[in-house]
Amino acid sequence: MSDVTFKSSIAIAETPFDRVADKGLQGLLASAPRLPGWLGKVALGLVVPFALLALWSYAVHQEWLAEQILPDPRLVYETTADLIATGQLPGELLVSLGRVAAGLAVGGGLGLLFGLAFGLFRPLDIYVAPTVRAICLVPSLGWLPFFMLVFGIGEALKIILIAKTCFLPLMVSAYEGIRSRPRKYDDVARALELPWLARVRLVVWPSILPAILTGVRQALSRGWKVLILVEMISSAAGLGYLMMWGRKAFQLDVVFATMIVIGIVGWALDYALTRFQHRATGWSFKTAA
Amino acid sequence: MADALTLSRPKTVEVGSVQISDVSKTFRVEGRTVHALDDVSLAIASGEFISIVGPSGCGKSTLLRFLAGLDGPDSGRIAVDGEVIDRPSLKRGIVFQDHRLLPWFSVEKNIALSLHSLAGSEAEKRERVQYLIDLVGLSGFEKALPHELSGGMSQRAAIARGLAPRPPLLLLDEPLGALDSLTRSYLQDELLAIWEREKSTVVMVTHDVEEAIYLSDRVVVMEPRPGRIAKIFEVSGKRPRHRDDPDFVTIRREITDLLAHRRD
Amino acid sequence: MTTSTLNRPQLIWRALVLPAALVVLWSLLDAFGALNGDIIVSPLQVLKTSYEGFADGSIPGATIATLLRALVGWTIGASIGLAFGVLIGLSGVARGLFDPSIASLRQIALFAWIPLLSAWFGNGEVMKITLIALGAFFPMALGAQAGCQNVPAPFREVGRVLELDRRATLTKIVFPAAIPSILAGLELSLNIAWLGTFGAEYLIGTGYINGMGDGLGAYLAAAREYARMDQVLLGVLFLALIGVALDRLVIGFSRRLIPWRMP
Repeated sequence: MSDVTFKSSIAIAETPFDRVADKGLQGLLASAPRLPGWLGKVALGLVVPFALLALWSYAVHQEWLAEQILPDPRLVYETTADLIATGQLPGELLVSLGRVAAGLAVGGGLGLLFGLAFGLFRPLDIYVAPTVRAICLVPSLGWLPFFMLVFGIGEALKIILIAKTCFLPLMVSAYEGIRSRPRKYDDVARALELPWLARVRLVVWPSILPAILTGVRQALSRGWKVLILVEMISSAAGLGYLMMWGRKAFQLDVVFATMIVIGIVGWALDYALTRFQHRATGWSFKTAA
Repeated sequence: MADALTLSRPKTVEVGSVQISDVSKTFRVEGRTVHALDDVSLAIASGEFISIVGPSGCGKSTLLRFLAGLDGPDSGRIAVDGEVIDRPSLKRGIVFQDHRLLPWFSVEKNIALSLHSLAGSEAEKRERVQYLIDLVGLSGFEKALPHELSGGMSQRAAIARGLAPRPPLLLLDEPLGALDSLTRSYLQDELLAIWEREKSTVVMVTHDVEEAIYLSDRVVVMEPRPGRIAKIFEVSGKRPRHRDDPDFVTIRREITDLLAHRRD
Repeated sequence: MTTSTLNRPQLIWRALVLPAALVVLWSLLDAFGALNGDIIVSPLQVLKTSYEGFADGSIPGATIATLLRALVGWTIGASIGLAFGVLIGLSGVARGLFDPSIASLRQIALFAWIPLLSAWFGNGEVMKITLIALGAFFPMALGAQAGCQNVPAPFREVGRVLELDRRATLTKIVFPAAIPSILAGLELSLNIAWLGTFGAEYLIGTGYINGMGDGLGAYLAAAREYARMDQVLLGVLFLALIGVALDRLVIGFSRRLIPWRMP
């Protein structure tokens, strides 16, 4: 598996808890000026967005660019409110979310199954896994023209492409989870004479769960991005379609509104999963620290 | 900047004396207040080799970090030669248990890094680095990267780095704690030889009672919750000491009894 | 069968069994005319197409166009990202100012920028390069930030104990410690630049946004338009091969640059 792994995003490590008071507190962050709590943090973080907004308004006011190309921020706000009020935006969002969910369920489920199978059965790992990994080396984006020829541009294309995207992260994480989980806990389970089912439920499953949840996060974040692309290319519904429609009609206010929603939903999905991951497998973050 | 230090000449003035008076420190751990140090006072004479032993949580490492200037006490005063410590300084060399050699620098460069902020010519510094490499027995490994060294060799390099600026006060935080017992006793003898040659004051934190008695002029025994000095033992007897010497055995018995008694 | 004692060549042979079987099956089905010729082409046909593609220069030409575009956009985006990431990683104030904005903008899928950028910059090179640079910016900035921010505390303490000044702390402790993370950002950003280039070319090549263009993306878009499955397979293969090669290049470079190992 060392040859083919998905690109993992870079995590900014959370400050690990200092366990032993004897070691003294890590007084080295003192070099960075400390801000007065979260309020100050939020205020500082809002400076740049507000500055950009001010510049934007000023640019519109001074008519630096044609109004078609750079709509008034107020218009963007009104359009967003309008799109939400009429139910169009929530409707498209639901369509998009449904596609991601379907793709994740199909692709992620298959990936999980394949990863577990490769991790558990050595012959499969030797004869089948290399081919599957080689196929996965071709990025989802590259499969797009191929899939379009084979499956047309209907609903199947979107689901299959998202499923293909979600497949790899889950396959890799399930496989790695199985292969790299600490064997010493197996010995513990054997010493405690746990029956087979209890062993899987109490020892094996929890030990690979952190890796799998990380895989799900990866899959979802990539699936969401691929979905937008495929909806932009071929769709009559969904956020990507809405955005493309806005672009073709030269209603950039709609484009802006959709971009904002895409960003917020992408963030919310990842945030929710991260929270869930911390709650479900918080122990793995602490021992790693 | 510690430009007053001299690289090449041994010092002639008596320096490196430590005054610790009424030092206290509390930490918040999981909502509870822990008294890491509670009114600790201790005077260390120039040129003395002193060891601090005690169970974990007794505040011995905290005390050493204060001496290094990495952290400060809530109350009380710590001074070296009458000067209150407020930040780390090259006048107080420290050797950590986890050697902390920078993984991207060779042995040579790691040691030279401790001379970076000192006055002196490049040639002088090179000479000092080479002298130290010979002193700790790492000749031939000047260009080696830390991951290519054994645990004992890494720790020697770390000791050389601590010694390089000729600190009047050398702080050792369980410097041999992670080593196997053979390497350990070998390095103990080297440490003694180095101390006798460099004439600095040494404060060493250790878990190992025998090591403390073997090396030190005085052994400070600390107790936890709250962190205090339980008792200070004077170790007389010329070095090298023998571990089966009756005096040695007596002191060791007393210290281990005290530690066992205090550990509730 | 004792599988645990297999050496590398043995593993490779076993790995090739399934693909070989599939190709044989594919050829057989083709030979007996069991395949729908429009959609599934024979392996021979793909080989022939690749020969033609090289002979008339269309494949190398498209690859070079895409590669050049990716490199230009990547250079711009990654340099700005590096500078920004280092700044945010080192300065608490800069982090407070820019971190929330960058973190939010990062959430917008790269291709979702296309409608906006194409409205502003048209469908030409400016738009494509901007998009690629934008894609390369985020992973690079994040990598540099993580590297500068997460210097292990023990190493920082060494800097304090040795009384290193600000400059020496940066050059001798912070930057070396950040290099692995910066290289990870570089690898990821190059990968995204390569795929982003392809995606932009493809999207414009499909005519969903008016225009055509050149490069592998446009080649594939045209191949799909005329339902040339042989060309599609060939283009996809090339896309993957170059992507893997770029990746290997960066990894090899990283190994050379980092001879040390973290404890």
